[in-house]
Amino acid sequence: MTDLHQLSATALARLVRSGEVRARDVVRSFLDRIDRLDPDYHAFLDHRGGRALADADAVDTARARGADLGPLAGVPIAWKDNLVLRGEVTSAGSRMLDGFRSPYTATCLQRLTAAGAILLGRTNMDEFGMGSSTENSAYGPTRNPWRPDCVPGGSSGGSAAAVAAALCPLALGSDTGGSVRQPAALCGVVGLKPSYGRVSRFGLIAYASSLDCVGALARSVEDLALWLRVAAGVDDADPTSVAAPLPGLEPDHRDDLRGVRIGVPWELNGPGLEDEVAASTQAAIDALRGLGAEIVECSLPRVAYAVPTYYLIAMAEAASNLARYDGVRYGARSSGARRCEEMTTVSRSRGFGVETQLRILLGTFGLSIGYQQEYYGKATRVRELLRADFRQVFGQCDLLLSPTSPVAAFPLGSRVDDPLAMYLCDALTVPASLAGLPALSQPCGFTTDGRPIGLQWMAPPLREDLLLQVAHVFERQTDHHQRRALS
Amino acid sequence: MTDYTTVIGLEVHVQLSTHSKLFSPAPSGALGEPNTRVHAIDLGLPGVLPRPNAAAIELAVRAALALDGDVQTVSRFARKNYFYPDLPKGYQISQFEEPVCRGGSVPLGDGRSCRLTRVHIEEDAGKLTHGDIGTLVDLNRAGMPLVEIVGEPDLRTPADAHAFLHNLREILRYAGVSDCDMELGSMRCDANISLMPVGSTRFGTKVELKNLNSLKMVQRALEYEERRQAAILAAGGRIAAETRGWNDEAGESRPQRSKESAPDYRYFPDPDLPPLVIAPAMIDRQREALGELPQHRRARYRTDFQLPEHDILVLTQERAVGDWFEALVAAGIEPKTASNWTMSEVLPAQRQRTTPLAEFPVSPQQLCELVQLQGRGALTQVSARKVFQHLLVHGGAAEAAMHELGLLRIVDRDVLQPLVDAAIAALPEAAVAVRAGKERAMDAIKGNVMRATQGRADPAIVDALLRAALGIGSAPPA
Amino acid sequence: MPPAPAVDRALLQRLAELARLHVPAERQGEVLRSMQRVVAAFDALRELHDLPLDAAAPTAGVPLRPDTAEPPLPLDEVLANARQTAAGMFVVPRVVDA
Repeated sequence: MTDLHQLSATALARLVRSGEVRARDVVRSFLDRIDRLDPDYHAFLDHRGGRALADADAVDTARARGADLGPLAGVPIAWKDNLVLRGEVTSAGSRMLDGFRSPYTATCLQRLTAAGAILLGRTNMDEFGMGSSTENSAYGPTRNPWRPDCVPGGSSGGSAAAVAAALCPLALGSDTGGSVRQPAALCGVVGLKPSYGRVSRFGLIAYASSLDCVGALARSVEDLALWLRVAAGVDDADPTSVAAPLPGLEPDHRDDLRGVRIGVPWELNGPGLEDEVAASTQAAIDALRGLGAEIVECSLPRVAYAVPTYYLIAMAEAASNLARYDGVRYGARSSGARRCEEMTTVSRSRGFGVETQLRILLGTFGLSIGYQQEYYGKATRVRELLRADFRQVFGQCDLLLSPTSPVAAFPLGSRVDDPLAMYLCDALTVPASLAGLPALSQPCGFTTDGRPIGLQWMAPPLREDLLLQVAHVFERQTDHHQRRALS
Repeated sequence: MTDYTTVIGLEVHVQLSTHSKLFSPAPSGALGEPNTRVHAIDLGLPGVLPRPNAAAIELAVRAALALDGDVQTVSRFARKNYFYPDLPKGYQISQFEEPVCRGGSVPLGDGRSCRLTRVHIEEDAGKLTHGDIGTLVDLNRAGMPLVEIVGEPDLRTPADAHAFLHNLREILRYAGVSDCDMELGSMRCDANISLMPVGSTRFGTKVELKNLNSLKMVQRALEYEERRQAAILAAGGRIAAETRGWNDEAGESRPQRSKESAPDYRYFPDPDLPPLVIAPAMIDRQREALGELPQHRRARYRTDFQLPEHDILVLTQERAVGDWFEALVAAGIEPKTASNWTMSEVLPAQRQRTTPLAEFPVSPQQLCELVQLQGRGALTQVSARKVFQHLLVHGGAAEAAMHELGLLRIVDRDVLQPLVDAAIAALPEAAVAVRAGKERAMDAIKGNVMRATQGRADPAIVDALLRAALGIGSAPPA
Repeated sequence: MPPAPAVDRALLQRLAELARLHVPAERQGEVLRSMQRVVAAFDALRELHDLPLDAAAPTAGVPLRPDTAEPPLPLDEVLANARQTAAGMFVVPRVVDA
């Protein structure tokens, strides 16, 4: 049999359910692999070790008893460090939350354990989700398993690297402006950002509330469909969660894409792309045409404003969301202050990293008297225009396609001094975030020096089924996803 | 004072009578031991999201209707951003540009009314106490549901402000929106006051008064501030825009902070909360639940029952009192008699109790039976009161209690004659006075008879026997 | 259109106070440069005019929770992550009303 760590979540679940493999052995093999390999990559902040094994034993016992096993029974899953789990440390990649233990569990983790999944460990991330390289983690950067001198992307870089290095078959991330899709692209794995509201945000440490989505990363489209069936659904604890039913996600075993209209907005498919990214995308478009899809040239006129619109909204919401870190009830507190105001100021200035402080300052700027109307106010209105652009274009096609990132994985440290250069990494992913659309990134090629390139799909709101079906066909008809890092 | 017109506007916070908090299921209401009524949501933990309480929204809508405001079918929660250790999230969820209610008014009781700007929903903050080791933070109150009622600067005297608050409190209590207890903090008031020369239309610089913990304090603080500002203006000075705290013991206000530069709260729509959409059906239900408001009830009591104005005011001070009174009338008691019983017996007894009037131990039916016994002449007024006190403690039927207590009225002249004679003998000076024409002196002798019969003697018969014995004419017709 | 704002030390000072952050003097230049670059990118939006005022009227509003009280967090869990507590309360350095 193949090494367990090479198997997909779907395959592992099948083997555990049939009794061919014990959950304990699955978990053991991943824990061993993390202990052996992760010191080189730092995808994980820590793992649950013996507690994960105990959870696996419970699955094995339940199976022995003949109990019904959940759809993810025995599948080890890593989660981004901005999802809280009762009794466990959660830091959101920040010193500000050093040592914080949550008294409650995030809904998306609750649903995983209810489905029998084994929570393996916390993955590294840019502080509070603010970054595109995982270099903004207070706990040190994560390295890209394909090229350890390069970043894994971000902010869910730990999750992407963990899946790429086969340290787990599936990992949760969160995507505010591309934080699942962009690292998925840079690490050569598949990443799904569901529609806004599709998966509960309760227990997801907020970066920008109107944009934050819990997503997942895996090495196959099928695994993401399996995850979404478990994770999706309305949650009383999240007033922005959506009650819409999830259309059938059973993998469609067709081999072609006849009748599927794929829109290619020129604004997302030309300007500013690295040559090899553009070439791989063009090759993918040709392959899709070869599979019978109709390629529709289209336009999203307001997408040119997406990056400033996104950053204004995200930073404004973040400035407010991060005001709770005041040193009073939890998290880091600097000692020695004589007045409360000073205590809060010093705690925040020491607890938050440089990028986080910059974003808080800029978000405060966008909301403050004299500036709000011209900045935050305008951004919320441009956002509506962008939604209208998408509505319009989805009248002409079923899905939209673009590269996920204008660039492939870049060297560690190469962009840290220029925030704007880093923000432009998100130019292709923020439009779907602003419009609340489901979007997916999947491998579509490699640079000549072996760095993965990702293809992004976007679908109308709540049409994850379309995304998954089309991406599944592309995956089966191409071989990009079969290449493995560290093999 | 005659040189200036006073301009007052009030902002009132009222705690809604719900079971749970505005955005969390932690219990609302009384506070208890510190931090024992705190949910993860109230603590502002990482990852929590607000969950709005249907009852709080309904009560806010009911308050809007009670105050004749315009309920907005679409409104929005907004974040008011500022740091303070009693504010766990670093922002308060409130409403800003799109409140749940615009307009409205509060009657001032003399035909005038004060317009309202708006009514909006917001969450309360926690509570700080200052100790030797620093400041202590209790979050029990954090997240309690409030409405803020913002009045227009229509009030012209501290007495107007008092009337505004009194009537606002009465209306909201009637509507079941809030206890409105200023001492316990379920109603809190900030007052803005400025002076302008008589005849002017340009408002002067306003001062905000805080720490006003009762209606009387509001009035006293405003009277003080009126004098203080008038004195400054008369001396050619100028008023500083500031917030002042009222110190009731000292009888003066002191500056708290300057308001020269407006604080920058960076309000924006709360991205965690979609718009608040209020269905017409919900507004209808709340209109129904609202019932009759005090000003309408008063008008009805005037026309339907023709009661004295004092009775009307007492009976309509709380919805439950009027309800009780009307139950008596419905049971068949004549309105003025029902009013007398309610005011002179039921309410004093209720004041000794802590349970609601609706749970008063003597039911309107029992009291009705008692009143009928009295009406039939079986009980004197004094005896009827005794039966009432008995029913209050022991329950049961009025007639049985009357017999048990042996309170049946004594109308037998053969029984009463010797008692009258004995009373005259015991009070010879009074008898002489009566015979000399001082009829008032008869009261002492009657009192003696009443005491001898524990109040059971029929007063009319005693009067007749006494007149006969003393040889004076019959009483003038009542 | 009002002129583009001056992203200067005075503005930085005001924003830092609002956000309860302290930017040390030696870092202010660097932070200002970053802010100026990003605000310049934001300014692309200022060219846009005649924007729609708001989204279409919502049909479904925020879901409301029935008014049922549930047990609060136990006191020890409320206080578990705090750095300083006393008498069941969080303790902070003295708050002084200005």
